[in-house]
Amino acid sequence: MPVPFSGGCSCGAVRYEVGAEPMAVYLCHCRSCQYESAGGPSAVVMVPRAAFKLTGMPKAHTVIADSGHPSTRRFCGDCGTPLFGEPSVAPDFVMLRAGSMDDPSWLKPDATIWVSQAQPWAAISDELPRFEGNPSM
Amino acid sequence: MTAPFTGGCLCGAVRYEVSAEPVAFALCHCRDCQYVSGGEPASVVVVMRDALKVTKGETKGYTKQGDSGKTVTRHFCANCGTPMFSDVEANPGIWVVKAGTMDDPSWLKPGVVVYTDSAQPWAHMAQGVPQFPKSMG
Repeated sequence: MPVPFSGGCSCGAVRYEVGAEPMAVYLCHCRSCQYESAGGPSAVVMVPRAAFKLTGMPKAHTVIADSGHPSTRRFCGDCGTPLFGEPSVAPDFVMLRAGSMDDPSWLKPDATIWVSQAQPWAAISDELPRFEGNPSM
Repeated sequence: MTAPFTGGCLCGAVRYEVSAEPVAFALCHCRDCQYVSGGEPASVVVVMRDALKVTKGETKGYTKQGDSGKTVTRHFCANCGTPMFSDVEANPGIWVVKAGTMDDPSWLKPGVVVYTDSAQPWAHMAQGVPQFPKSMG
């Protein structure tokens, strides 16, 4: 895996660098992610916060996740690109959106999650493990 | 298909109504859409220009040159970041609505997959619908 790797929003106002390998890559079909990802799953790349360096100031929107805990979604206020999530239940991790990486091609998704909320027309892999909700850790 | 239908952003600041049936439902893997959709395709509903009415709030626009050489303005909620509509200079008679913003996107049936050339190697392709390496025409 290419480490460190970098990314940012479509307009370049926000940039980030990650100095560690992703711990997991999930395709998340939860309803909140559908809003963010236009209807299909959001490809979520879990990285340690200690290895995550941010340049620029994304905007934040906090929702109460299905876990019952707050989850903050960060996006670029200039171009709207969804950048990363910060679930309060996992403060040591940042959940990057794969589309914001400069090169997301080398990612290998580990699992499809929240299939219970997927749209009937969403394309779901037969090869990846599926979880009805969050993956068991 | 079901018309009229309604939708809005995750936080509820922006709401809209569409008064006529969509003319197409496409899954778009272009790189610009990947920024919006987290990496997987953007699920986009094409509606006629005069059929879409914003009934609450307003969106923020970000304009970028598209593959055609003409501009695409991507509208999102400035409060929660939800990607909502695109305004395509090459086709001013339509709005492109992100399916994830619909109150009920479940009845949609994908008609076409576009920009398969730029899809991520790990993206999941909808089966049984026509696929185009770039746009349709």
